[in-house]
Amino acid sequence: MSLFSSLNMARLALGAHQTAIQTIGQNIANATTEGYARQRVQMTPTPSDDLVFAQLGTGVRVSRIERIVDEHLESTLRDSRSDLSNLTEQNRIWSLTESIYNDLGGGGLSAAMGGFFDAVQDLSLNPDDPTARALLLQQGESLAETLHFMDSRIRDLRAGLDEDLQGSVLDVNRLSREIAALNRAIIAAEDGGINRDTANDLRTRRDVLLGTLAEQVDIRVLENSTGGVQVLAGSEMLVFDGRSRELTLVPTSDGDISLHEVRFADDGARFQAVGGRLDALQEGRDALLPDLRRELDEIAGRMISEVNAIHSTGEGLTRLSEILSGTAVTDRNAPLSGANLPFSIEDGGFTLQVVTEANGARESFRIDIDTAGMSLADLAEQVNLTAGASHSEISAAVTADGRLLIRSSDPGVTFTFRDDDSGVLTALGINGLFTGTNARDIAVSDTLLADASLVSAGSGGGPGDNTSALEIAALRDKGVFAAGNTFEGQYLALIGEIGVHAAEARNHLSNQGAITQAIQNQRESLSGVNIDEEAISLITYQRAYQAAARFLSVIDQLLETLINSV
Amino acid sequence: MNPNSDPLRLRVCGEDLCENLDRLRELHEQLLEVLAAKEEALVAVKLDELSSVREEEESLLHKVIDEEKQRLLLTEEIGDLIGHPTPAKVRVADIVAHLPGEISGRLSGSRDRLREVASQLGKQNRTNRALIEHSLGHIQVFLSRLVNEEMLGAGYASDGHEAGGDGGSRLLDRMG
Repeated sequence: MSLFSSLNMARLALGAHQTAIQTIGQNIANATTEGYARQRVQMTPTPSDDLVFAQLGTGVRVSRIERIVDEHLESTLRDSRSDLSNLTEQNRIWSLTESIYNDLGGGGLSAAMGGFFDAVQDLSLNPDDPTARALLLQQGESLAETLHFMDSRIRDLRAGLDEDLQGSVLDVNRLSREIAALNRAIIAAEDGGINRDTANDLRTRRDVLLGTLAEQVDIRVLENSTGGVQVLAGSEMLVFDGRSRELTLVPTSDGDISLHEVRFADDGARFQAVGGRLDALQEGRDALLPDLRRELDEIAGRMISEVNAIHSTGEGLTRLSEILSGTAVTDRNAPLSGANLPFSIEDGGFTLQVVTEANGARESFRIDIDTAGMSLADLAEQVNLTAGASHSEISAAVTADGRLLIRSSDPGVTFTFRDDDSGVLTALGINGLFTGTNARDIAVSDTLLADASLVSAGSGGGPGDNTSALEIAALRDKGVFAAGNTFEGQYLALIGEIGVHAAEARNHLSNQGAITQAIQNQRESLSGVNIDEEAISLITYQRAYQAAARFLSVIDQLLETLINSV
Repeated sequence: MNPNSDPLRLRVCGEDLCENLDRLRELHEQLLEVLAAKEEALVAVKLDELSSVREEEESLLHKVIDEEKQRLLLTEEIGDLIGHPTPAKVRVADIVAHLPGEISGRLSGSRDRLREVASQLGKQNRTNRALIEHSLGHIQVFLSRLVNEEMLGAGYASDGHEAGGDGGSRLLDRMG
């Protein structure tokens, strides 16, 4: 063997062995690194020299340093992490929602509705008592504020989810870019696939990033022959080899909330995440919370319509001399059925009763409602043609902003309403206790707040008449909702539904956490670094090499003796 | 020539010595193969092979030692037969000239081949020694880092970004 061959063999051998030991060091250094896959060195002897009496080795080289990875397990773990992230976000959203509807402190909607009906009950016992009237209005305001508060918290939560979604989209973009950059680096390092699976550190980092991306959005990962990966979210490509598709946030709004739509920057197509955190955020923002808000609006709207339906045809201690509808129409000449009134109306009518205060004389005028053939202007005209014809003091008109105004020019002539079987008074917001249509805009009528004597506790029966108050109080136990639920029952059903979903989310999260942990453990047992095992490897090497050194001196001594003796 | 020399005995001893040296050469060639395999096992960290090579090496060394004992007895007897002043220290090279022609030539050839193999064996043993010392040094460095020195190299943070290797000893923290 030449001197050159000998030196070259030593160089190869020492380099290879150093790589083996350093790989153990690398494993140890990354023992606690999430996503790191342990590595092992594979060595191959270089071709040997064929001597006359022996085959002399010329050294070894490192054929590859392989990552101990099971791609199927990695994929399963990514999917599991995606589900876990989705359920974690769902659980967070349900928990926050639960806190909005939490009635345990006694200050919730259930208590507010109870307080309102209690106040109505008190008024029915003392219909002429100004304090009872003031208390009713106060409880009505409290109920409205509670609904406002809950509505605003749902809106805030929705806006918060939109902000989280923006952050999630930025994360997806950043991760996609980094994965694309790593694809380029891996393709270059592995010579376009000629030396597959050799860029271990780059691949490890890419796997970590893919795992992090999967937490944001459920992905499918397909490796190309070049070593690059395609990343698909649903059927949409996020990363292809060295290129990534950016997502962009397009400002939009939903009623009174500013939101952002997620679209692809290149073609503007909408992006709907499937799985992962982004999906939970989109689902919470665009489906769950709007649904809950609609249900809250339904409770508020039904409270407004049911109470107002009674109140509008009742009578206070003083009667009306002027009333302006709370609801405006955009087209005074459009049929009422097409006027987008907030509450339903049907063919029928109501009675306008004109009262001469001096003698208490009452004269009733039936106003027929033909929802398809009558406009607000027609309604005003019919009032004028009936009540106005008999009492010139009474007139009706449509204001410039599309509201119905009925007034008496003589304080001695007042009016009141009776027997509305069309629902038009409620729909137009005439003489209601509440104004508004939903949880956001419900309020106690300013007219009543200014003059509590106008609160309709009776029905024209004079002092002590509590007919209307009793009817309103009876709403507490009336099944006004589709399932026969009372107001409180409907709200409790909603709370119960939220509670069930929240509990389900917690259970699913707990189960998924256990599943993910089990898969993670499997992955760790295969790819994870056991620092004790690596240390034992080192010590095993140490002992093996110490044992190998045992006969070195014996051979030296034998050879010395032999050379000197022959 | 020793006046007590016995030419017949000298011839027999000379032939025995030739056979002894040939056996020694064969054993050294086998040992050379084993040491080459040992080198391969050392650098490739093939611990099982290293263990079996070591057993083979030990077995061969015992045989070499037995043959060496035989050689020393034969050279001492020949030294006595040729009248060497210190027969126990006589070298094969000193004996060649005292043996009959054909045996002398055969012994000289055996001696040369044995020296050549011994020289290769010496080189291989030195290579193995260097490998073992280097590897043990390397292992020692990593073992010492495991227990009381800085973290090895850089790692990755949970978000996939590289984390520097100067953040203190994770190994120490973990092994605490």
